[in-house]
Amino acid sequence: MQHRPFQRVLVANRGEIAVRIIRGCQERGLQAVAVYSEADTNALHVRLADDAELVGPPPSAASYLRADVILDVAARTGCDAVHPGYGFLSESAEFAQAVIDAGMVWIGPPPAAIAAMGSKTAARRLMRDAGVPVVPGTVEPVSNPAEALEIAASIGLPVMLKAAAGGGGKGMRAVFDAADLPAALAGATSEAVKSFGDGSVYIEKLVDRPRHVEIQLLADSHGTVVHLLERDCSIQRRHQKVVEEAPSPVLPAATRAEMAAAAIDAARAVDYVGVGTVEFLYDPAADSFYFLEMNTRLQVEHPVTELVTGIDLVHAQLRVAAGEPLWFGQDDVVVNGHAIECRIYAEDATLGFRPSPGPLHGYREPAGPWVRVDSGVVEGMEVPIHYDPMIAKLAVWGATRADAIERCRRALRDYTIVGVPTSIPFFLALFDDPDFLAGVYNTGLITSEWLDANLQSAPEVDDVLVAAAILRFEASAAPRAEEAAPAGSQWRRPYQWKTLRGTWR
Amino acid sequence: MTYDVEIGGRRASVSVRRHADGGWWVAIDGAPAVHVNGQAAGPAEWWLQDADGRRRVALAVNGSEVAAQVGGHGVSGTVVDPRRTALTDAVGGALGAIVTPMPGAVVRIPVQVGQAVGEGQVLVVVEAMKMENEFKSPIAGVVAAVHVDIGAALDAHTLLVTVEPAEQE
Repeated sequence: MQHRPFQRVLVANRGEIAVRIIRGCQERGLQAVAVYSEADTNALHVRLADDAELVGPPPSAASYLRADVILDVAARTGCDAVHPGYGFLSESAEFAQAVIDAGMVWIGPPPAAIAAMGSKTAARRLMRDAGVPVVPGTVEPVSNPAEALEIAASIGLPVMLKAAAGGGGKGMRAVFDAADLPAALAGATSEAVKSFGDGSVYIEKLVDRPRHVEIQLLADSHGTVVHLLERDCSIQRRHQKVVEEAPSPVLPAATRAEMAAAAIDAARAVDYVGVGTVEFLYDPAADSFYFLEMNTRLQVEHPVTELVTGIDLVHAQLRVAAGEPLWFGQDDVVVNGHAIECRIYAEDATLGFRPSPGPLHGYREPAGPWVRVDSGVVEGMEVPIHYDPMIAKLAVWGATRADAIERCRRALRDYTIVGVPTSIPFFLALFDDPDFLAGVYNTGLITSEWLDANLQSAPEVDDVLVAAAILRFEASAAPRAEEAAPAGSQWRRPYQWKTLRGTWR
Repeated sequence: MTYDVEIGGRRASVSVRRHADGGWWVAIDGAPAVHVNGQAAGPAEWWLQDADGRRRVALAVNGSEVAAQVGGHGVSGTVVDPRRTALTDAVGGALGAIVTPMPGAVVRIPVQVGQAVGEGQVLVVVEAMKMENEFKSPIAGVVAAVHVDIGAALDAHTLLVTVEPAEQE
């Protein structure tokens, strides 16, 4: 029996999600053990954990993906459970099985459920057989261009190429012209090999102007499955979500009920246990939806669901993994108000979201009522080049969608990050977009044309900033000048601290 | 003392001298000098006080480098002696000098020295944070030099490739 109480949880992840899980464990009276790479020695998750062990050099493949090393650390540090977070080993059925075989509790779905949903093509077959609507396309991987052209012709252009083992926008290509198909297939295949070690690619019909709507599920080990309503994740860049909200501003109640029922069918088809998400493409014009994939883990955007339902999904994972039956029923799940999350990336939004890792010379998070920041960084840290460039998630709640947007705008303006460009200017521009404000956007909203039209390529640098830069330079070049500050000033002594890149004042 | 400051794309020439009552006289681009005072509010926050009141500026400096945040934008810049700026303009800033703005690793170099390239042709592919970034030639010309090797780990601002412009016809 896998599900049983445990006391000490190894958190096999890094960054904000490791912090989130460590906090959840500690709130439930459990101890949390962190693992870290050489790039994360001073990271927040290492500071907060009850114990922490180095697992390897910075590259993920040599550290956070080393299942053998992580299992060894878990055993050595006396852990009796493992939480994988998202990404890294979270969707590895082999790792889940290895945890169970080592006599520890796996805080996630059964390995068989992970495996069943892990191959997108197998999952499509499974869902079609379970009566869940799927996007027209192939259920088998396609490798040769001639075959791909034939399939594209039969389902009609445009089509989408997707990595069977994929996720996170890697190994995906939209094809609008048959002439582009062979090159797109080669590109998607090589990216899939690189990202997932599996070059299988399949073909789907490209749904025109879809929304990405997903249903959050929670299943216990006693056969009960409930849904926790939907999230709308239609604001994407490079096929990756950047803004998520709950509830969806456009989903009719009847469709929500149908979609939730389909999601529960999907979970039951694989005997799902734990927290999981079924993603759908929603076509608002036709009011129809199609199964995309099931994510057999906690999602990045889980905070918006927590904010509108009041249900702590990490606590729920811990309780379900311990064998507890669900402590509430479907009727107890009600949506209250509206929540929006912005993923704060170290990316230059003005340059097509170019990754911009670097030092956080200045870092202060916004706060205030119903403002939640999930982050894994502190001032003075570097955003490492080795991992996803996400710095934090800013999630806010409001009584209405408009309230949530205004609160989020305020919090974004209050977010101090000095040292790297971030996606904050993008969110501020998005919150001025009439289509976003009206809620009538789709996954194709954020194009390079939209960015050019809505985002200043450079901010307005006023005289105050210019003067401040000069004075700070003067003050740092001639420290004695500081002593001329007014008597009694508590800021007379300049702050000074060291990073790997020298002394910043 | 007069400095050239470049920050977030804005260039300005700024004269600074001490004010007898504390603080500084600051004149930007030849405008009349104003009396301002500045104080550190934290590692990367700075109070600037002038006749209009006090403003908080998110800003840090290290040597001649400046990092700041304005209107949500993270910006960087430099404060330099004008004599050095002239030198920098002569060395860098050439149209055909391809420089990576971010750290990363070289994954592909699909061109060779001596090869003719068109505008927009991919010269180097650099991987950063699991994303492949293609560096394309801004001009038509000939590859004059390749400064990096496949697999090399790059710091930001590393010169990758130099392209000499095609001769005008």
